Amino acid sequence: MKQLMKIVALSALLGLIGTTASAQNTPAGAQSATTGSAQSFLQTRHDEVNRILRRPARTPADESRVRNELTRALQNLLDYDELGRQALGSNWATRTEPERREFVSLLRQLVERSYQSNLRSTLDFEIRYLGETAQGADGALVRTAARSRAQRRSPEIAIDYTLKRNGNVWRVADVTTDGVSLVRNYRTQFNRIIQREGFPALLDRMRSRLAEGNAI
Amino acid sequence: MCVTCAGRGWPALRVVAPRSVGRTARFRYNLPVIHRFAVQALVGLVVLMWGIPAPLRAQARRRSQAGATAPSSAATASPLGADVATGQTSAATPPDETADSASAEPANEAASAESAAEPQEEAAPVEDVHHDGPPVLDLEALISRAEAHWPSLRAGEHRIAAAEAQLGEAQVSPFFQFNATASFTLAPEARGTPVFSPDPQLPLTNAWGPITRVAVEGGIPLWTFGKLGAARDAARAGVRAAEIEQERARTQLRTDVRRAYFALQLALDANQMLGEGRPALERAVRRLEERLEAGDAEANELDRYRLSSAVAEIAARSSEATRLERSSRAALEILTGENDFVVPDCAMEPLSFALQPVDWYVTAARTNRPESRLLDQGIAAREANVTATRARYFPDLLLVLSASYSYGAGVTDQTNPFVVDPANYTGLGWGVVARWSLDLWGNHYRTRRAEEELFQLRSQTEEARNGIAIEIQALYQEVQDADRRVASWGQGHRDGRAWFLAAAQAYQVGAAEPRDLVDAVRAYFTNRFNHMQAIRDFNDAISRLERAVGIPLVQPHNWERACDAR
Repeated sequence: MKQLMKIVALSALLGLIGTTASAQNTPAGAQSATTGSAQSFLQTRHDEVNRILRRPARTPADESRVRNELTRALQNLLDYDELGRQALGSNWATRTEPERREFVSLLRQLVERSYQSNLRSTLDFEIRYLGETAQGADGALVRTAARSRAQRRSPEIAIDYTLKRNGNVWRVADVTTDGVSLVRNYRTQFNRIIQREGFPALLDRMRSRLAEGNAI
Repeated sequence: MCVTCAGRGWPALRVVAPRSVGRTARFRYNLPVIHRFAVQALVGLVVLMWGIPAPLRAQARRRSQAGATAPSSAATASPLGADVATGQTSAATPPDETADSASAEPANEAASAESAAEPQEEAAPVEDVHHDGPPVLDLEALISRAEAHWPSLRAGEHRIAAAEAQLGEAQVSPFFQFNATASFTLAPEARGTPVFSPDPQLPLTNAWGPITRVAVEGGIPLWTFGKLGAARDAARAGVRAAEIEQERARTQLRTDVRRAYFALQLALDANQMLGEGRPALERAVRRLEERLEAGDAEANELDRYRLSSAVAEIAARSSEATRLERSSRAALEILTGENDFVVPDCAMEPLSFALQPVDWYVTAARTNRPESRLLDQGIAAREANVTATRARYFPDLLLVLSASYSYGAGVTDQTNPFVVDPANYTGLGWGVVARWSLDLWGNHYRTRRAEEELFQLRSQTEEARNGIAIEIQALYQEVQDADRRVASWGQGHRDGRAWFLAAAQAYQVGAAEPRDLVDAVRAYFTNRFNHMQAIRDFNDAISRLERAVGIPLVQPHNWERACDAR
């Protein structure tokens, strides 16, 4: 199951990297976003996060520093508003601005906590880029396959990235892991809870989950 | 020269040689075996010259075949066109020179539409030695070691050699049925002639002297009406039967190694999967217990039971997987003689194999399977027996030769050719002898018995071939069933994993409960385990089908894909 959690962390991490990189202002990122293919854009962001993760952290202070760097990188780069809007789907328009802010804040904290606990374990994954397919004028589908170097008996994971170009900037619109779309899954789950219990109940669930910590 | 026959159970030949000294020689001959036609005594020498190299040629042929991966069957093509990984049929082993060409027809029909090609993937190295660990032996390497180590194959080599020696005896021995005798005795002197002698009939008071005798006698078969040929045919059938038995033993050994290997890989896959889940579930149980003890209202006791039962199930499955791993590894160690090795650390995959119509396999099995061909050799031996029995209606014609010499110093040498001198004589003789058992009525029943035994074996062969067809049908259904289960459980495995991914993503953001996660994990592990088991069943069923058919269905290096290529 730990392997499965790595899959979840890996796919979401790479998806977030893609999403957040749209707001990256570094020259390299901008250049790859504007002139490179979607695949090279993903590879660049992936390598950057790997460099942060591979930084040695022998003391608790080092660990904290790396964690903070990663959090800052995600906070500065992540467009949680877009993720939250996609996840709520049609329910986004009916929510008030404070409700939206709280929802996005809770979502950000939950996602960051989950990925932080599993990010290092994704370093042993070998990513193969299988090609890029254009989807319309401003879209692209990049297919990848991930396999654990340590656990070679584990099945290969198929991770497909759907990217959309907004102007000169690429954005990851969705990450599909072994056929499971992140955005669609969030939208389905949140919509189900909202329909049955209401939006406040959804926020309560998210607060409770944040309070209890990771059970897995 | 006159020839008569009498003595020692066999006709004895007396030849009176018109020598200058008028000596008489008595010949005895003993012919314990049947003989082949030879117009001259030199035929025996010719046969000897031909017979000795023949077993050696057969031995060389056998050694070259032992190095080949395909059995020496008559099939000129195998259904390797069904090997989807290569996409094309591979060139098959050329037919054995002693095999029945008719058996190649079904295989030819299957392969005629496809071209021969080299496999697309190079085989992984047979052995990859870790710098700091035991060697990595893949399936092909393990089979190679088993074939070099397993005693039954060595026993088979000796069995073949014994059968070839028996053939050599049948070819050579009939032409060397000669006996030599020599004797030395003491006898009192005796003087005189057949008309007068100064000594009494038993001159014991005379001086005693030695008498020395030497005699060589035997026969060369000229014509036996098929007895010798039948003996050689039976011996040849014995050689072929020994070779086929060796092939059967080798095929069985490969099947056993594959079965143990696939079982080991299944156990390792299962243990790795279960090792992933157990620590996480145990951790979840502990955290949930802490929350329950702390009085957390959100913690559900039912979830704890659900998690605990999942942990217990994993523990039980782990025990089964460990047992399977140890037993299959032990089997491989015994079969190969290797005590310290590891297998490639990659998940087992289903063979790339497309099934031919079942009739193809039935036809191929009836023709190529070693057990079926053993029955053919049994029929050949029975047919030779019928030929030999029928030949007993007719006499054996032999060329009998003899030479003898006796010298008694104290006994007067009688030079009269009409007088029998037991102490002093010289004899040379030859003659053509006909020996004929007149038990024709008894031979009629012996022939009938031999024929009925032949018909009985033919009927039993037909029954056995029907049994082969039934076995092939059953194995064919096993392969099809396993193939369907691979597809179904493969889909279930993918769906289970998707279920878990979705549940985990939802759980992370509070949209799912622990029980949702546990149900998803259980379904994922169950489906994945069943998928792995179906893959093992599929590969093992193909291996057993190959053994039952008697020809290679998968190239030796295509039984598993190289680890690095995945």
